[in-house]
Amino acid sequence: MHARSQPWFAAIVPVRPAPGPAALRRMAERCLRWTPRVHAEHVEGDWPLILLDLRGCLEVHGGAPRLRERIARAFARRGIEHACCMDACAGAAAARATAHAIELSASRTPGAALRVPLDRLAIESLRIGADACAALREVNVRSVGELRAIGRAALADRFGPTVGMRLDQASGARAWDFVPIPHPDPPRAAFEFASPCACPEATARATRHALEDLCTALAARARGVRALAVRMERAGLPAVRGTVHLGVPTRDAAHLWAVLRPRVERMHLGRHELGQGVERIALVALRTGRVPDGMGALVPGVGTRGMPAAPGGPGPADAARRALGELVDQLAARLGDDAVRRPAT
Amino acid sequence: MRLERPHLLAECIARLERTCGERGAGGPRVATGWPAIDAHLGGGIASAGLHEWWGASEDVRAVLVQLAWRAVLQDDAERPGQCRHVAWVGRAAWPSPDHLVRGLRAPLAGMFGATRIPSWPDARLHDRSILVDVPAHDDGARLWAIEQAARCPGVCAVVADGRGFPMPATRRLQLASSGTLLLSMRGPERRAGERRTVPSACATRWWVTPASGIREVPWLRAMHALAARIVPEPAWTVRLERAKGVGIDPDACPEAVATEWWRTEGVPDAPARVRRVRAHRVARAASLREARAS
Repeated sequence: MHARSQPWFAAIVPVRPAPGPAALRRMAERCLRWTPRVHAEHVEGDWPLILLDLRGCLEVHGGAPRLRERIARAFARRGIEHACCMDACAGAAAARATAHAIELSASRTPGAALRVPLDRLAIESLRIGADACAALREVNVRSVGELRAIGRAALADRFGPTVGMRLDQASGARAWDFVPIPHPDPPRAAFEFASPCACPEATARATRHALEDLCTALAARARGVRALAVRMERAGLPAVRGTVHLGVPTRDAAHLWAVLRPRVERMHLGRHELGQGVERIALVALRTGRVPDGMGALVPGVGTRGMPAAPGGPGPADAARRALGELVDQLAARLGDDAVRRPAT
Repeated sequence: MRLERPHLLAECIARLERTCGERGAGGPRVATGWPAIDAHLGGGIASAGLHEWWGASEDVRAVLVQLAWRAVLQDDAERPGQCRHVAWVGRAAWPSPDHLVRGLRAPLAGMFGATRIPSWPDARLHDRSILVDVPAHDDGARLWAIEQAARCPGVCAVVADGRGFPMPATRRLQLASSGTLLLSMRGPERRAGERRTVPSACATRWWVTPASGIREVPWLRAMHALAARIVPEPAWTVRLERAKGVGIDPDACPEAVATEWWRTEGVPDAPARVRRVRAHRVARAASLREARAS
């Protein structure tokens, strides 16, 4: 009984601006930070829906209320007005969130849809399509409770299987057709030697080459790396692997090399006469973040040839934040990961 | 010869004057809050340069927290929104976390008859501080870390453990701190008069000692308390012994008494969260009144 009261699913319905399929997909990919199973649904003429399977994830986020706050903050930061509802049943969560979105779009006092019994919700909240809703309203069927009173056979004859299926999903008698979106492939780059290489200079050059490839891949996605996994495969020796965490998202190859350089220089490459050496250098950007456009400018606020920077580009505050992040990275690279701290609270 | 682009020349001259002015005596300064010393230095210590502080570590640290507060407040006023940080390099320079929040003792400020101004605690320095730990007995790593922090455009002030640095190291730090306030703790003297003989490239040299008199004589403290003129405890005597470009008589160095003013001075505006809750309550009360009226 207690387990049933846990909100296992969160339904998010973006209201304003109305997202297209690609934007909804991007929103769903961002939701992967909260749970590994996310379902996105975009049907023409109906509200877009993002459904999060939270089973096993609530403890990580400090409980449902805290996660709800985080979701609200993340969407509000991007200027997306949305409706969110958590429930033990995916169908009920989707119905309530859709009803809440209808309230928000009609500028009515929001919140009633999250509290009233499911039977009192409007039939539009069941996501059965505009035609079906119009036909039901013609015969004075307006709420879910009134729809439930009609026989299933009559509903199936008139509207097909969808209406009955949505009713069952909302009541929990039937599982939601959850199709999790695939996880995006992280940006990666690699350099392979023709033969094992134990020369420090060549290894450093190859690492820089791989870093430039990685930065190119990150630039194509307009992202910067926050956590970088490095794997050095060595012939005759076990592979060396490690993860570097960065203070701010960056795709500056020179800065990444400055962070990696002390670690690469400390690494034992092997003995060439024994056939040992590095065979492959693989880099994977495990975590990425947004980088303001034009952060490669030499002087903050100034574009090329002394012209003013483009409007919307990085300002002095972005430059200061980036400089501080790079300082933290450099200090951590030389002095150790625990060398830079925040004061205790 | 006719000048092709006079506006470019004028711009170059203005830029040179600006640069020279910043490094010269008229450059930006951080007011120390000690009127006698500020008047002597022409408005405060230069916000770009190396300043050395001699004295026991705990005394110097307490005074430097005050200067770090001044630097952060001035940086906020000059560069709003940039949120530049303060770096504390070396464990000897690390302050206590509660020293980084000002106004925690504001409710006590009116205990001795003074007018109490309602204020809120301010944790800006706490939120904008990074503590850098360097390996013990590795002077090279410590010097490198201080230099990196001083060169960072995202840092407005560096408070560093500068004990035992020779002349070349201080010259490096002086060059690195061309855009940052660098406060170096040189530690106590190992022999009398050491601070005057150790060569250094610093812009100013200071000597910090615990303030005597009121602090050490119990009956005097009681008398001052009764007269409602007690100096907030503890207090330190700060003496400016050397300043480049300013003539200082060694027998009559400017002095001031430094107190922990930040403990009793908060910000008058409530935090955003409190303001939000208040606004919500006011709106709710208004809606209830409307509902009753209707």
